[in-house]
Amino acid sequence: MFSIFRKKRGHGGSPRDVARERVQAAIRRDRMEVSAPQLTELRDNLLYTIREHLPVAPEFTEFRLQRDGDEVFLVSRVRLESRT
Amino acid sequence: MSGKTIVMTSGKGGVGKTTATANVGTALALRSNRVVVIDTDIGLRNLDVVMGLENRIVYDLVDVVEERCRIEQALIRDKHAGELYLVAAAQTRDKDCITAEQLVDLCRRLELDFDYVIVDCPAGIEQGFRNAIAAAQEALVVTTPEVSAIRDADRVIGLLHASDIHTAKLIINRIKPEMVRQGDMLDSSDVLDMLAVDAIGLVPSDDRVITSTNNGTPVVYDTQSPSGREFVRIAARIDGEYLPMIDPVEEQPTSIMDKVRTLMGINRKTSAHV
Repeated sequence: MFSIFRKKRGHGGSPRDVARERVQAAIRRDRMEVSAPQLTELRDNLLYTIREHLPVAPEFTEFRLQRDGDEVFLVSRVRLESRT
Repeated sequence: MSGKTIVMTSGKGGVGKTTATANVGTALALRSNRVVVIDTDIGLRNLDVVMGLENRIVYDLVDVVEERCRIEQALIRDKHAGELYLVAAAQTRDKDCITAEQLVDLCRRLELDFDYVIVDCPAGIEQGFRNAIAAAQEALVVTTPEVSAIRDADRVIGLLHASDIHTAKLIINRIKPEMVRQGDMLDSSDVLDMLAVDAIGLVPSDDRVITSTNNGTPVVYDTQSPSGREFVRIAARIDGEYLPMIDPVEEQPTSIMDKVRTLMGINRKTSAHV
């Protein structure tokens, strides 16, 4: 009940609440981080698999991570070559 | 004898990794285990100082892996605990001068003669970290209830999993019960929930650690030290003994309201996951 007398602090909570929110956000972001070499390896593996089914034009491949707020999307755009 | 290798790691520097290594190693030796602690922080060694053995170093870790001496010549026997030994890090070399394979080979040989090989890992996640974790079957991750330390611990736990070390347990160090009670510090359950690993020790902040380090005598010898007592309990848990987790916040009621709460049997949410 004494908490109502406590001084209102930044971010609208106690330092403990603020710390908890900040760590959770940082950890969530870190866990979604993908390094450039990992992304390259992933792209190569995916293209290898796709090529087993469809002809692809690798020079037109787009492969990147896109962040939208707390969400991260893997965006891939692969141009297929016409079969000859 | 076939012992096991445990790496003491953290990611962030300055959270008490070396102090924890010295104290857990000493406490394990006081339980009649044969223990060797290895300082892998090449270029920035400190385990020797914390254990009060800095004047006894003749050969170091790099001398062993570069075969300038035998392992036995680099083992420095502790002054107090009978079967506790230190392999000191080289002070004038850098972390790239040994490889993970060399450290794995050394630990496998030491496991033949010791119950526990405890590897004190350097801060960071570079080559020194990769070397230190390569030989370990288990890991103890040391953190403090602070944003940066917890974030780094999470990163390290991820890297340990990627290296097939799935038995990482957490030591939460420097818990300040009064700050937790006032809502100024994260409590142990906050940290454990975020990192999703089990705790093996909840160590209160303790000024006696500073005096023990000044004297070169691990704090586990100080029976009045709250942190020393917890390091003793951590060693017992490593040794397979079941001991319930004691949260320092519950152990040290100091304010009048906390004492009233304790008398009335009202506890705040402080449960630790064991």
